[in-house]
Amino acid sequence: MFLEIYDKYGEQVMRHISFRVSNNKEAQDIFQETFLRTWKSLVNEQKIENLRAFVYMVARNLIIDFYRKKSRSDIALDDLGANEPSSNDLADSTSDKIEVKKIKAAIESLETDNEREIVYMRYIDDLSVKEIATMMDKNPNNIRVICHRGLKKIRNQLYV
Amino acid sequence: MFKEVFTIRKIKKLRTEDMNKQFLVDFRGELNIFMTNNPVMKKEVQRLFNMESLNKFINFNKLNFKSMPAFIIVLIALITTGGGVAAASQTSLPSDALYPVKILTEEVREAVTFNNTAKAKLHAKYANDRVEEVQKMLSEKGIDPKGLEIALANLTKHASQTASIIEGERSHGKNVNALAKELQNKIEKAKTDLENNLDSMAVNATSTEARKTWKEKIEKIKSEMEDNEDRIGKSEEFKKEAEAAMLQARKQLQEASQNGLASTTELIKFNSFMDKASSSISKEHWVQARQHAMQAEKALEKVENKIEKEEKKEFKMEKGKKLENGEGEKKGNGRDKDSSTEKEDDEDIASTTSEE
Repeated sequence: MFLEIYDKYGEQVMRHISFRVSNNKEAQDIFQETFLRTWKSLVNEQKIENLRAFVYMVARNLIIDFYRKKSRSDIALDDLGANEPSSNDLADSTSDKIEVKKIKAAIESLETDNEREIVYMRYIDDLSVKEIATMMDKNPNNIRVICHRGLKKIRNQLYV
Repeated sequence: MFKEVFTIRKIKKLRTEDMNKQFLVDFRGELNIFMTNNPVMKKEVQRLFNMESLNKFINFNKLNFKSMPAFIIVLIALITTGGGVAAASQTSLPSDALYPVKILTEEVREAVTFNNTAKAKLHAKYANDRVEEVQKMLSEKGIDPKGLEIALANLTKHASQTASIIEGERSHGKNVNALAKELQNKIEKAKTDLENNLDSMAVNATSTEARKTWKEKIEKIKSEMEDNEDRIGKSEEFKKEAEAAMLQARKQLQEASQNGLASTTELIKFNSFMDKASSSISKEHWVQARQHAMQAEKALEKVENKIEKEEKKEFKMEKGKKLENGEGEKKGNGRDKDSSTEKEDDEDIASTTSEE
């Protein structure tokens, strides 16, 4: 059951963490810790209603801890190279690569971390508004508004 | 509105970004070991007690079983029945009401087994027990899809747990070669026995669709069992065995070629098995590689038997002709000797045919 969740969402969770933590090694460590901690929570009989949302929540907390420990500027300097996608990383054609880069840049250009995270979870991780709201302890309407605004900003960036 | 939809579509393109698949696969193995070493006992007990069949058998719904540890439940069963229920459950089959009790006693036994070697052996034993259940079920009740699903799910679970323990022991630097060999043989036996039973079941399935579904299921189980065998056999010892088996098969081919057997259909089979063996070697699936090499060798054994049989037939016919020509009479007492040799030849042919 738990391994099924891993098979189904592991890649998605890894993609989410890689997007937010550009250093590949650190991202992999956070990913491993995410699943180990989730399993430990199950062993400790913690009540979990939505396992997928719970995995994301654990990942989110670990990312926050990670940034707390390191200042963001240090990481950005460290990881300039690591953030560059490899030739195998992205879609095959060059035009696709350019487009993916543009989309990434547009999301990166969003003002706050919260905005970036919510847009990513909603449209790439495909989490529901309700799931994101529960995870971030916010009102669903608030999440909807942030998504809408974020989308508008990305659209403006892409269609300049 | 449309622009919004287009933007969302564009954002979703980021989903095509490939992740490091090897890392995900490697960590899956580690996670599996971690899960085996840190099991969620309570959930398992809940699952067992949520099973319909148990509720039908014991109408204890008013009691809150969910919060009881497994051993207390078994203890109550032992005290109230003097061990009778637990003992009676040992011969039960997956679709029987007592089956959950059997599984529960197994899990309790596993929970109180702290030595990893003993635990791995226990899982391998349980895997074989599940195959025996399948055999018994098929002979007594025919095709029982629900019961089979339960037995097969448990079978792969135990095979996987056996492999996880071996992997865990290896990762701690322990030499588990002998244990791995013993357990791989057990898992292989379970796989072969199961294959024999399920194949006949798939053939006897009533509809084409049912046949197809069962064949797919069998393939899936077979592949899972092979994966587990390869996990158990991930060591130098198994690698050497695989390479030796391939070498032996090639020698056999050389001999067969020298005897002019190169154009038979069995030779095609040989090449096909050897290709599979080479492919398994490149993937470091040593157990499968050895099995394929042995199958290849077996394919040639059949050719040899066939040729031997043909030669004996020819020899017999020639002898018959000679006898007809009256040459046998000149030999006098030699006739008895010839007839006894002939009898031996007949026996040889009969044994060759039965072997085939």
